[in-house]
Amino acid sequence: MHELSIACELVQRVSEILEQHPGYRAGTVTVAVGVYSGVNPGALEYAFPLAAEGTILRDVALVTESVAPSLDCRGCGASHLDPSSLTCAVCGSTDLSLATGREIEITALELLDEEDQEQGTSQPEDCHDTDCPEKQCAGS
Amino acid sequence: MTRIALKSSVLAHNDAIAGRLRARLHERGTVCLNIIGSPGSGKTTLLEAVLPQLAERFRCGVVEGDVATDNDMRRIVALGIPAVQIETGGSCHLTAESVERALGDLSGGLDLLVIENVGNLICTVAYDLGEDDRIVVVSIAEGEDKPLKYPSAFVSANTVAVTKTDLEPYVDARVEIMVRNALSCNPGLRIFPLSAKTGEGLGAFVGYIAGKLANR
Repeated sequence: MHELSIACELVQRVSEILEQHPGYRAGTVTVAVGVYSGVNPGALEYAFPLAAEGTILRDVALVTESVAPSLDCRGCGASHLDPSSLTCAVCGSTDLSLATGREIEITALELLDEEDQEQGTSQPEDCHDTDCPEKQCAGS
Repeated sequence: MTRIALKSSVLAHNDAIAGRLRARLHERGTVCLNIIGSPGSGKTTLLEAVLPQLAERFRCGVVEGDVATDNDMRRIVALGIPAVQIETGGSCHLTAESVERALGDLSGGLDLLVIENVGNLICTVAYDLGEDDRIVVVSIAEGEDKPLKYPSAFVSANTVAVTKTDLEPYVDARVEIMVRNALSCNPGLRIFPLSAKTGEGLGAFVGYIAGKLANR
């Protein structure tokens, strides 16, 4: 259970990103979690509010996205091969490296300005976007 | 509202320190190994068997990580090999920062720095400690499917030591199947089945590390 440590690091990283955007505060932060990263997304989501408590990120929502493993071939350079096969589908080499699946990476951050904060745009009441990336407001 | 796309590692702070540590060690010609494995897999016993042989030719030092006690550090120091202990006080993994702090001057004149991580096959995986080689220590008594149950550790490693092979006749697990399972997680692994108790297979493992030191 090291997700609280990861959550504390996440709070630090997002705070640093916010410093580069004066006048904004954070809405939703999206983190990609590789299935071989050793991090449990549910535990990270549980730990994040605890780590954010008492910081400028206390109202920030965390969304995690699982990243499936994929392989690159060191032989021919083919990328994103099916990880269930340990042989390159292009050249037959077995010299493969993991291209995705180990990351713990911030991939998106919502920046809210003062106007957003007054309107509470983080979870807009009038959003009808069924493709809303946050899913929280889809169809509402 | 603006949504910005990023590609920013959550562990960027740890990775930066690990990178600094790696550069510093390379500058001094020190090879660094990060040993991970379950509690009781035989990490310290393996070091006790291997380090005296390496210490005849190379200057070795050890950073020991445990939740509590300096027992492991004392076992290494008893061999005449310098060691420092990190007691994490509950944390399940070492960080690059904790290693850098503990190192002090230990890495000064070392050929080989061994970091024995806290006994844990999950939480240790995400943290780069500046090592050149990550070695998973797994005992045959833990079960031949251990690599399949904890793939992240085996995916992140370069090398595996399958320990306690002398126990194979007494447990329902075959070394050959454990090796196959580890390779199914990561076909690039170098795997050394060995017994620190009987000495079987130790020579190849010592030779592997000595080779890394000779090719610095």
